[in-house]
Amino acid sequence: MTKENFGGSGETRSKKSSGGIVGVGYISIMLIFTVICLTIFAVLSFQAAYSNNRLSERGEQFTQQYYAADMQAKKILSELDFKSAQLTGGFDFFGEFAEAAREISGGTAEKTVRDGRECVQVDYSVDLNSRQKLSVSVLFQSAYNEDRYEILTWKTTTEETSGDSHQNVWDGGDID
Amino acid sequence: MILLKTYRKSNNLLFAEMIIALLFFVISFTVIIRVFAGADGLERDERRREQAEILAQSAAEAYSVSGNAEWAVRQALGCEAAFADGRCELSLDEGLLPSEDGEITLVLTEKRSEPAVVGCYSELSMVFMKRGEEFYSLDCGAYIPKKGEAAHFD
Repeated sequence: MTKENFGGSGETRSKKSSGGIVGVGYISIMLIFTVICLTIFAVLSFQAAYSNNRLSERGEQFTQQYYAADMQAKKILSELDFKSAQLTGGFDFFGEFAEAAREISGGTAEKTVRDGRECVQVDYSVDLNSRQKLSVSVLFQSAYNEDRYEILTWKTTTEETSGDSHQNVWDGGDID
Repeated sequence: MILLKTYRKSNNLLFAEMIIALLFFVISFTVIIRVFAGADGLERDERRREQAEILAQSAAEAYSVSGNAEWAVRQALGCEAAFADGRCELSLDEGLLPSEDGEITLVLTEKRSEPAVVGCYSELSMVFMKRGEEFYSLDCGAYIPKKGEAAHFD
């Protein structure tokens, strides 16, 4: 009994000394596990970088669209200011300018009274993209000085899409 | 004797497995490193474009209130820009800071409308280039009305 035990432990010892503790297949299993882990990390890091890149591209696109619309709105404002200065001191400034402003801006122009002074309020918008636009509202008055116009609003607005988003559900009618 | 033979066989097997495993590891590691490098490249590009966007926006905002490209560049970059025929080129380093021999070039082009009777409408175009390749651009405009009696039509 004792001899057998001794014999058994001697066999194990000789296995250890010959490198047999690392069995065939163990290295492969460890390596496959390592490669799988590394592949997962690599794919995840690439995916994260790609998502960030796309998000950043969208942001850049919006910035470019905003500044393009801003440029267009400023160009319209410069044309309106030019017209307002041209018509200042004329017989019917408000009527003539409102008509010209509608033509130039493609928006609306109404005669209004603000702080006891007569002026023309011009509202126009420039498209940023299919969903958003830059809305501008400017107050013009018949003056030669720096108070020719006052910008009331210059902001980005999002178009309402509630009409399109309604769910197409069965209304209880007959099914053909 | 039989035991010794079995161990030798096992060692040979182990050796062969190690070589195959090493080969497999080298091949897969090459691919994995490429993926990591690609992710790093994307991240660097994105960071560079983001920095360029912030800088361009700062310059655009400064330009829209002043209509002065030199002043806008000074505010955004902190350096002097000498425009010749409405065009100026600035050399920037990787961190988009002014540098003598930077890898990045910022090309600024300014267009002014004529005649400026009641005010001046102008446009500034900013193009960021790395080794001759454009990676970010932004166009902006400014309208600066003339003050006082300068706007009087006679």
